[in-house]
Amino acid sequence: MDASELLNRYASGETKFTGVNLAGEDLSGSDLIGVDLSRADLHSAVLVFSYLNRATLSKANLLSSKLSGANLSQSDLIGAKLRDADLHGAMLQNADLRSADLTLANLLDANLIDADLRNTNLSGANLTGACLRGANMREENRRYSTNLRGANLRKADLRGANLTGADLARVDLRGANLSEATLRGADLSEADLDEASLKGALLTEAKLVGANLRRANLTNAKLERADATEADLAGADFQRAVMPDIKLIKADLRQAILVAVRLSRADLSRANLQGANLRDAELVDVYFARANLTNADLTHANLVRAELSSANLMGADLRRATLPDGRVYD
Amino acid sequence: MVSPSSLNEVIQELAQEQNLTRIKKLLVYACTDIWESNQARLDEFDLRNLVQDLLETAPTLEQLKLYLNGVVKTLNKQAEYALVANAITNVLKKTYPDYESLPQEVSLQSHYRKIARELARDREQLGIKKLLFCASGNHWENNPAILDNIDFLNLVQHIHELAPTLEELKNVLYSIVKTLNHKSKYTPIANRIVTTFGSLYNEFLPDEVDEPEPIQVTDLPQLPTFPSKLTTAPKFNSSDPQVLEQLRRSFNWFDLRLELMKHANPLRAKILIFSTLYDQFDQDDESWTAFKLQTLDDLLRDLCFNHRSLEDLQTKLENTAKSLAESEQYSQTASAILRAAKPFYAAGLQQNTPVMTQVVERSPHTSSVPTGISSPPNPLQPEPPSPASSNTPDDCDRQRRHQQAYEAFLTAVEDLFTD
Repeated sequence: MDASELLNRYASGETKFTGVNLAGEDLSGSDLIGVDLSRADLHSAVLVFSYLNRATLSKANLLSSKLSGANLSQSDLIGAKLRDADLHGAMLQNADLRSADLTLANLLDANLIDADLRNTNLSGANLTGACLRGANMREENRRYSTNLRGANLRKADLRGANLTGADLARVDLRGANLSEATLRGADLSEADLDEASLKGALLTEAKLVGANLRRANLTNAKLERADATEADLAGADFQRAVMPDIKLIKADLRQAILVAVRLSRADLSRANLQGANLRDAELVDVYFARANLTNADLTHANLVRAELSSANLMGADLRRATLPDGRVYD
Repeated sequence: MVSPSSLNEVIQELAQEQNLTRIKKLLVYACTDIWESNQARLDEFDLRNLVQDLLETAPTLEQLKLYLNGVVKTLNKQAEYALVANAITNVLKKTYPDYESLPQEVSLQSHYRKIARELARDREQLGIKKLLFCASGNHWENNPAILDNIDFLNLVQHIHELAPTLEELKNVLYSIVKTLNHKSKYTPIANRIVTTFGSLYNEFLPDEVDEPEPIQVTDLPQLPTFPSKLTTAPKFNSSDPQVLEQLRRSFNWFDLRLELMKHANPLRAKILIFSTLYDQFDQDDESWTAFKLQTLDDLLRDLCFNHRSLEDLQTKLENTAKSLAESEQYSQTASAILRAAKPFYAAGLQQNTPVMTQVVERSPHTSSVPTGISSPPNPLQPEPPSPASSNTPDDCDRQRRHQQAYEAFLTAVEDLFTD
């Protein structure tokens, strides 16, 4: 079947074209709203700016197809093969992409609001600037989760997304919006989160080893038992974050804003806290072995039972702080 | 001779200062006569060498003050840099053997507390805090959560250290107010701060106040290109890259983009904005490659920062939409963009003055946005579509903007003399 035959038959009211072969056909700008092209072969087809709203494309072969600017909102793309497809600025709002293969696809600035991405393979995909608010990436079980390995999520909008247990190791998340996202137990080791917003995000037990969080906004975030060993957190804003038992061994926390954080029992051994602002912080039982607290602001901090004997406190401001022995410094 | 330990201490202290960049700019200028605004080159200067040079130039505290004052007087942003000079003096004074801590310190503290209390009780305490925070070498902060955590007492003390005379305090406050959108709101606030601080300055007069010297135009240490002139003229604080960056960060661009995505095709929106900012978009390979390097976010920011009002934006977008094929589609897109951009203009974040930074300076190729793995790196960077030799209407527009900016710059320079 070729493009004109499809368009003629669709114009005369036919909508079911399951399994047809349209490989390499040019259908750009065509109106195919609600068409059924499940299991169709559309590989390398040109569908730029086409209207495929509510279309059924389940298990269709869309390998290397050109879908930039296409409207695929509410379409059924379950199990579709979209490897290497170009979906630049495409509209995929409410689309069902469960188990679709989007490996290496280009989703730059795509609209994926409320899309179903469970078990979707997005490894190596370019999701720069993509909007994923309300997208469903929930891990159903170990084998049924969104794969984002090696994806580019720079400036992506993932506010409120559920990324529990997601594998985001070494992923580029610079400037991304992850505020209020659930990242419980997620692997973010060596991820690049420079200037990312993680306001109120849930990072309980997340792995942040060696991650870059420079200038990231982590106000009100929850980081209980997270592992941020050797993470770069210089200048990050942690105001009122809750992070008891966090590991911050050798972390770079220079100039970090740690006002009113709850850091009880945290391991800050060999961490660099030069010039950090720890005013009003709860630092009960914190392990500061060889930590650098030069010029840190510890006014009003609670340091009861904290291990400070080998910490460098040169120039640190301890006014009205409660010291390890319970005395208030004045 | 300065002892190494006290030198280490002052260097560490300087390195911790919030306005380190300005401190470094002034130090570099004082030591080398070069006005360096390039951050990378600025970073190359070693703070220790600069401080040592300066201490050699000025063997006494008095000489240091005189020298730095003289340097500041050759600058455009005198009020701001006078405070920077004071910050440097405050830190370096510890290296001079005759320095002893002020005997007044105790009574000063009680004064600080009194002023802090008075300001905290004021009906406009939030505005006062914003203005004082900005004056103490910081950015303009709007986030109430952050402002809440700033202590009035520290702020008052810091300001007094930076501005030892009432004159200096006035200068810096009013020069900040001049750059704000709500001048009428903040002028009385600045007045109130000055009155409240008045008692402090009357009681504790600084050692000496130098007579201001006339400014030499030829001494303006600015680069001969427009953009850098604009960024350093006092009136153009809002085009200062730091302030601009702050504006960009404080606004919720994610929400703006979300609003747009809900009602428009993202790709059409990008094409329309790209065509409005740069040249007409033709879908040949070169334009397409250049276009693929841009994110919608970058384009939206550039669009908003380069249109002074919603009306201005509307005219431009609608005209561009009309000139494109499928103009009806793009007209719809234009109205979606306008709706999404409304909060930006309602928040008063747009520039008051013509901005040169984005449209003129930036060709689509200069931003290195990763294209993603799907498109291989393009070794042949196509020529930027815009700066052609022919006189397109766009070029005329740019020339007009250059002209406007230049005139505004001249006015700003004149203001330096009339103050």
